[in-house]
Amino acid sequence: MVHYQYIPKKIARIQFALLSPDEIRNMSATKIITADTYDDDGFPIDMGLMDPRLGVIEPGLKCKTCGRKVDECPGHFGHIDLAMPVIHEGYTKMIKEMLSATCRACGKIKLTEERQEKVNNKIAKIGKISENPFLFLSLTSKVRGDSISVGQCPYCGEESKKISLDKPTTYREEGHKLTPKEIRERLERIPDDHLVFLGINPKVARPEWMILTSLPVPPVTVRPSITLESGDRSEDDLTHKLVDVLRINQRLQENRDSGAPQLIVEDLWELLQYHITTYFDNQTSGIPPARHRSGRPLKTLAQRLKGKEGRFRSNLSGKRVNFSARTVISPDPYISINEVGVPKPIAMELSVPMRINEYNFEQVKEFVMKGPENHPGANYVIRPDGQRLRITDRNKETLLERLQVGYIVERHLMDGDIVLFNRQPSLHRMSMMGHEVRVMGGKTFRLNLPNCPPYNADFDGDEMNLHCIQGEEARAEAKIIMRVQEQILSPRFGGPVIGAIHDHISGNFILTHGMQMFPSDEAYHLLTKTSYGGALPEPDVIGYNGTPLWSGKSIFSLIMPDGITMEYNSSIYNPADDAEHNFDSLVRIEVNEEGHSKLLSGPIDEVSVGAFKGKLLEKIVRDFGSDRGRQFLDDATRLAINAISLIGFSTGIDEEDIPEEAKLQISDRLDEAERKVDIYVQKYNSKQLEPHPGRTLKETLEVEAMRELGRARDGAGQIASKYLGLKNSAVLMARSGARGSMLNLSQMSGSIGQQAVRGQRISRGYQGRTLPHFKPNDLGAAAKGFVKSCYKKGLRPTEYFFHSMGGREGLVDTAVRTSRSGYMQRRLINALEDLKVLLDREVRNTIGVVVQFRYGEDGIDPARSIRSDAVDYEDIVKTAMREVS
Amino acid sequence: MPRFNVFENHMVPRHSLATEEETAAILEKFKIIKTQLPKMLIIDPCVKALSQQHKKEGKEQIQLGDVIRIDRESPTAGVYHYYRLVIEDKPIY
Repeated sequence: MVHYQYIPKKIARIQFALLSPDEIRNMSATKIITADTYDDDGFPIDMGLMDPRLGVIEPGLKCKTCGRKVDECPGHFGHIDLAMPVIHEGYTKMIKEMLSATCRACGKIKLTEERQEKVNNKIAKIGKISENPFLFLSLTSKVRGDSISVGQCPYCGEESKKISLDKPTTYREEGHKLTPKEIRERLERIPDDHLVFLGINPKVARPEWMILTSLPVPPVTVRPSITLESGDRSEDDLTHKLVDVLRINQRLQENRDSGAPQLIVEDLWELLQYHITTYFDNQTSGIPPARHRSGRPLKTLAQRLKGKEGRFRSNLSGKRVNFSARTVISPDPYISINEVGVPKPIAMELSVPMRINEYNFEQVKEFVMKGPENHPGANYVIRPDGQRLRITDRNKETLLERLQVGYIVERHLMDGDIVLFNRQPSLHRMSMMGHEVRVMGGKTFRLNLPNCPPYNADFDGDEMNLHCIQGEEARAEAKIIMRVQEQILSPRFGGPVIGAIHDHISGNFILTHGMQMFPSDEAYHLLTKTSYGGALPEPDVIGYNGTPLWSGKSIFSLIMPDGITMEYNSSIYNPADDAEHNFDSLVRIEVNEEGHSKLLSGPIDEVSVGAFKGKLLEKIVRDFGSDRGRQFLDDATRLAINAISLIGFSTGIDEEDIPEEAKLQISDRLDEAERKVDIYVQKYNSKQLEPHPGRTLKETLEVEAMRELGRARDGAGQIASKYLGLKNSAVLMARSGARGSMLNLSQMSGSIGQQAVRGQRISRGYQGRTLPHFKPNDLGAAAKGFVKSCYKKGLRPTEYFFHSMGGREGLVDTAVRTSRSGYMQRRLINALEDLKVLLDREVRNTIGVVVQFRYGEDGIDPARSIRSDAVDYEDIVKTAMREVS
Repeated sequence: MPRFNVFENHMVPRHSLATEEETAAILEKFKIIKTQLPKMLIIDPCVKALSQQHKKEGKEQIQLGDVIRIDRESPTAGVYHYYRLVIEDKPIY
């Protein structure tokens, strides 16, 4: 149990205040007067924007204010004295409220003394404001609102005038423009003891400080200039903006002092206001953003903090890391799912720290001897005093002599190291898993295919990130918690997210479907890449010339762990057929006399080993552990690859050819549907159609037409599939669940069917019709987007157009969905990120408040649960029954 | 005054006032102080409805700092007891 009362550190108080002009001058290291930065020799100009007293950015120099070096000196503020006061862009609303809530003549708050006393009493009742800021805020905002609505000053009797704010920084009093100077004078008149009604603590802030008379200049460390390769200096955006401020400030001062016309002074004053406003926020609404010479808008103070690229989201919530690599991924079916193939150049750049002890001394010496240029070598030696020495060919002998116990050597990444592997977007915990390194040639990360579903990866150019673990504790966690084999069962539904895909399923299917027989050489060949090392069992049959033969089912049985009894329907099970027809679509696994699991009937397909479905895989992982589960999956996929290569498998569009008679049948079926729709339309036009309850006549027609045409498409598909059996590769893939569906196939050889936009038959386009090819108000099948043709035959021009309309909607939907679910995910993560499950299954947040007294109210880990039950009762009962009989 | 009783909706679990002993037992069991309990606002419709029910039955009123016990029925956990501390209504900014 953690005792949350004893939190080591706690922020006691945060004080928000305004900087006064005096404070700005006091904390300033120097006053800035010249807009220039460096002189011709490249030295910073005194009292310029790059004054050496503002801090150091060049290595080797010492700060003129504090005497420290780069990275030690935090930088020091300077200041600019403004010739005329300027409004601070961030306080415009507050300034308006304060002007409106106080008297324009005497500056007092427009409330009677009794009311003031009442408010003061209420505030006293609240007690410490810091403990109840919300109560205080709601009180003062009400007081302010009341004061604004008072029309006459209760003290001096002055009539109030309406103040309006012209965005962003111009105030008007009944049309008359108020200068920042006038506003400042008014705010100065507000007495200290009236400030509390405005929600201001007079101890830390005065309202007139919202009007700037001097501007703090941030240290050079905040706005470092960069020297380009050409030797030219390039200044930070903030420096550029400050140059503008200084220049206009100077001109304003000169013009004012020399008694220039009021108009010119006012223009310059406004220009100064513009520059200072954009210095704070270059996206202030109502004014054009200040731009760089190239036309790029400047990134000023607000832009540095705001949004996805701002300081918070980009530098504080997320950071760039060392010891990581990124490259394109490509498949490798012969590495384990636990592994990742790492190109040698990457393995030689990433390193693992090894602390020398007496047991690994010799091993480490070998790494240092090999140096950074040969593979299992080392890049750096770190002395116990923290000094980092790069290993080179020239110094490796001397380094080798100096090596001692306690030194740390950064050796290359090697086979068997645990690394983290990640593909963005990282939407669930399986997006970042622990893999074992396998150093390989080439330039891509190699990934085994069953890992594609959890990462949602394919190989059309996807890149992935790899992070090399630097600490023992992290390494242990990655190995025990994050390893791929520990993630096979998903916490989302308790089934496998990692499993066979595509060819793994086709391969296992053709191996185990029906009575495929193999002579001993082929049988052994199939098993070569698997972990099965034993001999073949008794042959299933003896061939006509005396050769012993083994069935695919027997061969598959060899890779299963002993002691499995299961019975379930495979993906080719057809509930409409009788038991005899379904004989080989029922998967039965039983234990034979020798105690080995044996596949008695049924093909191994998606329902057995596939990702998201695989029942057999799930059972093995659950009953025999993740180690055996991983081994089984590796074996099953390799066996499938061998089988599919041995037997051969391919498909082409001509496989979807169907005989002429079938085409006629399909065409008849579609014509019939069209006629039926025409009858509905006729009925509709003559108002004889019976409306469905709750629907209009038009809606009824649409529903009936959609249903009829949908049925017609399915009918066409059924006719077509009568001529396409399991001998057809595409059908095999669809039925076994490897790829594609029967719908895809019926669209290729039957009919594509109704196209829809927003769930309705297509009805947009011209007045009364979708395309000029149809008569106005034609409600028939073809005119509303029914595609009669199949992909094989090709679409008619109008059909093609409708098909594109439907296709476009699909694309737009996915684009909209991803961005919206991304934002939803962000909000969810921000809300849940500090929750933690304690050892006794409570859920608490970081401050120790209980969220759930028991995790998920039932304390069940969904990844280990069976259909949300902690124990698989059904399986226990079945096992017990078997043991009894 | 609520126009309808939220407790009549079948989706709303049973709410009741936790006794002193019950609260103390929970705090002891989880080694927490009262403010570490999950919270609910005093203006929560369920608190209001419970207050009204208490009034009708002549029991004590719900006050700030009271702990409400919620019995949630769940297909996997049977009945799950949840405890919430009644806190004052804060304006939401």
